Amino acid sequence: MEEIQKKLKELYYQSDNCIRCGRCTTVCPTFAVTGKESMVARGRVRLAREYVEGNLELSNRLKLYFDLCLGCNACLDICPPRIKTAELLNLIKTEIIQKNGSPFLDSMLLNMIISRPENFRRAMVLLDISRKLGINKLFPATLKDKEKILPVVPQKSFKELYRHQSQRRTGKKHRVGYFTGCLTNTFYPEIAFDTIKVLEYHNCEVIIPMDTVCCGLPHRTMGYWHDSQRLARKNIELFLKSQVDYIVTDCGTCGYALKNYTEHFTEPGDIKYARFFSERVFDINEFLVNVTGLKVGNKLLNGCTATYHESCHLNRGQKISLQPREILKAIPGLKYIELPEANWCCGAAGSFSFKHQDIARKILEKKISNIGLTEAQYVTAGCPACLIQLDFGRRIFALEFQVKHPVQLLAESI
Amino acid sequence: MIDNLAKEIAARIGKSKVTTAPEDLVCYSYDCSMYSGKPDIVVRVESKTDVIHVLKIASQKQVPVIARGAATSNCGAVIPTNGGIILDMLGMSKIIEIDMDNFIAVCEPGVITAHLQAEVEKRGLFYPPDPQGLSMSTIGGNVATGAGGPRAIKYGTTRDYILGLETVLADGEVLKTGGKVVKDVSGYNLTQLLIGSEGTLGVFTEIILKLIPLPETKRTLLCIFNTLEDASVAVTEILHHKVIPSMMELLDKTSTQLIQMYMDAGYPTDAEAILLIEVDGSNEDVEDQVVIVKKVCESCKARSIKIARTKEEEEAIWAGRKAGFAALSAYKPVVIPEDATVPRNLLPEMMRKVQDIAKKYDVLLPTFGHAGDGNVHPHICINPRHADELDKVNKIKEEIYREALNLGGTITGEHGVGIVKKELAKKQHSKRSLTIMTAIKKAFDPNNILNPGKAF
Ligand SMILES: Cc1cc2nc3c(=O)[nH]c(=O)nc-3n(C[C@H](O)[C@H](O)[C@H](O)COP(=O)(O)OP(=O)(O)OC[C@H]3O[C@@H](n4cnc5c(N)ncnc54)[C@H](O)[C@@H]3O)c2cc1C
Ligand code: SF4
Ligand code: SF4
Repeated sequence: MEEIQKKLKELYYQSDNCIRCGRCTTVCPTFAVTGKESMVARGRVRLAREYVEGNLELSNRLKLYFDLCLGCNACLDICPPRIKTAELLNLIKTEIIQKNGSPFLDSMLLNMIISRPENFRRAMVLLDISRKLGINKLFPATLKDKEKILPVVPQKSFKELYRHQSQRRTGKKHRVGYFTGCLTNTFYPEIAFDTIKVLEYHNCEVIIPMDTVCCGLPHRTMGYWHDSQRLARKNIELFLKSQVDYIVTDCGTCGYALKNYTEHFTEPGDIKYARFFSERVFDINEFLVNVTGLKVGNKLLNGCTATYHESCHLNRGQKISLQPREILKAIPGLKYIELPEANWCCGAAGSFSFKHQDIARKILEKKISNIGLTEAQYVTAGCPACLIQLDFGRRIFALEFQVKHPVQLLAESI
Repeated sequence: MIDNLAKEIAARIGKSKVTTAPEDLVCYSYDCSMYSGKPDIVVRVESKTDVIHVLKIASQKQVPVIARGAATSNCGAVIPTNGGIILDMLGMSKIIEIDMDNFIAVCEPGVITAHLQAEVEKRGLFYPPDPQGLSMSTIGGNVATGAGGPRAIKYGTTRDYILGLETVLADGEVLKTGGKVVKDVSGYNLTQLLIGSEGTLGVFTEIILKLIPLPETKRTLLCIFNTLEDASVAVTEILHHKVIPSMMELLDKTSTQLIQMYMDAGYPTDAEAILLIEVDGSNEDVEDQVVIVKKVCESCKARSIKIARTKEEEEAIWAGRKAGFAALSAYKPVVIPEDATVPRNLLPEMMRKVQDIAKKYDVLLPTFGHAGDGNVHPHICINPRHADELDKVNKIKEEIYREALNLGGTITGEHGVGIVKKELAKKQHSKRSLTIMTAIKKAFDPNNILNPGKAF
């Protein structure tokens, strides 16, 4: 509690530097689709300050306003005094939860489902069964809309499938631990397999700790610090035990979370371990281009076209923007087409697309119309959360493209 | 009373457009000045009819009404000092027409300036006014503040591109002034009177703008001088040689140093002044202008001259100037941009005076100026947590403006009066002109409900 108070105080103090110039209005996706001052960093900072100063009560409306920030950090990039709006709001939410219990609607969802991959997977399988039986039609209207966002759940998760494969490989140059993100595991096992294939092609021995848990980011952004701490600790331990040189993930969001584990802790001992861990974390795109050196295969992807959507957590979160494009451009035969406003958020933003559908959908609409302009056959992104959202966009706006992770196309060339 | 008022408005124009929630009111209580004040109601108007309804009700009840664009005003023009109704104009943001035959655009007031510019440029046309907040600000706000920017030297300011206005008056009646004609001498020019009125005479609901053909090409030069005087002589000489650059910006040493600390714009940190010059026109014309500007600067003892060869180089040179305000804000939490304007030949004198004031009060007063039009922006950079710095602000301001008025200038070239410069405006204007302005205000708004307490 004290740590949070301290951090909050720091950020509150810093937010006094907001000069109300309005530059954030030019990039904030929630402002672009609503035009409301409560939906942009300038307004959010003011609301946060008035709340901290005790001038505003914690009403349901205020909670909603705090919750409506995507956390995409587009404002941070353009803000002259670099006000950390998203972080400030997260801290306030954390403090609220610690003071008042759990006032935000998602605590049950988080703890029951997201914190353990098996549970997440189970929930998604249940959803799929109810879809097949048609009983999803009986869901209450709110839930019915929400479940439409999710794609078909594959028969088996990555971890279930992988258990049946041999794990012995030796004599490779790098010893790499693969961190399995919940979304990749459940919805896109093929991405995980392609990541492994590509890593092996780049002379890596791949270790996959099966007991990894959620990266903790959903908890942290919704204000559940203790849970995110617990999860971080568990993941750190697992990888330290497996003695890998690098930890690689194909999920932009997980990568962002893992790289920032130090921020979860305040005890110097914890921070030391977290730093040791985080320094070894790489996004797959980054790892291939910057560590191993990119090697593409010989198979031609003739006639194929691909574009690239920047996941906020990759681009602004980890400053990884050129590497995925470099990979796509290097794949033989594949034609790369730049996406207009590629760094515009797709509206997924963790659970945002579930909780605040109307706004998320408007944000997505702009993304999809830009995708339409490229006429690309593959729309790639380095984060499965974005892929789910983009695929949802494809369905509701009836476009024809396939969502892919860049490594999938790279794997195809091998 | 407020509740009833809100209900009445909601009944007329729709519930979803009206809010009195404290969380919303807070968000409409500020602009880019240091002031704030809470409104009682925020109404998001979506059409002329909405505006008419609100003003009819407000004038009956005699409640203040403040039109709000993007709230980038840095003179407090959009602060509800006495509560009342904020009209959020961002719901009226359609470009109604771009008329390729008459070179005219018609738009609603909530259109973002940069958006309009991009749209007309796609069609080979040009809307030149370039206040530096143009990616945020609205056309309505620009008209209401008479906004201008670096291009004023060649192309003028917002004022020079407004052909007609549709304005809803205090009692809800609609006034149409001007129109799609370029020549019009019938009666008083009420359009020009409304421009720069800071929302005190009426609420614009439709704006007719003049466009010109987009110049074929442009080039940028970065000229570095060892003394402020050399740079100033160069400015005058360039104009004497009949070259009117599309932009000509003068930055002093403190500014270039702070900008370089913030980002690498390729500016020197040891030169007393730099000039950023852009010339535009046809391909041949631009080549000629570049040659002349270069020659003149050389003869004025420029230490070095860099001519941008690519679009990227060009952008890099201007990026520093554009980031000026940001760079200063990164340095001190409060940056107050002052806005004195003097006859252009007295610019160096004014800049020297500013430097003297900076020395006298022992503060940094980084100054950029629109060299071509005599408009200088000394920026008072302070930390409000240090009481002594805060104390100095008013004294510094006063001295800057005393000097500007002594040199035959004005207290604001483009930012406006709002509440920040009311006292100064009283000093600048004669009694007679204040009486006339008061009478004009009364004729438009007898009950003083439109943005009361602003402009003069
Ligand atoms: C970083 C930065 C740089 C700036 N640079 C410049 C510059 O170079 N030159 C310059 O001139 N200004 C500059 N400004 C100031 C500001 O951008 C301008 O004054 C701008 O015109 C304000 O537009 P807005 O839409 O934000 O209006 P607001 O700030 O919302 O309102 C300004 C005034 O216009 C009135 N108003 C708004 N809409 C209407 C309407 N529809 N009908 C009637 N009245 C209306 C308001 O009541 C208020 O009095 C800068 C500001 C910032 C933050
Ligand atoms: S860009 Fe930063 S300083 Fe400017 S209004 Fe937004 S949050 Fe405030
Ligand atoms: S983090 Fe994204 S959504 Fe939140 S205020 Fe900044 S730009 Fe807007």
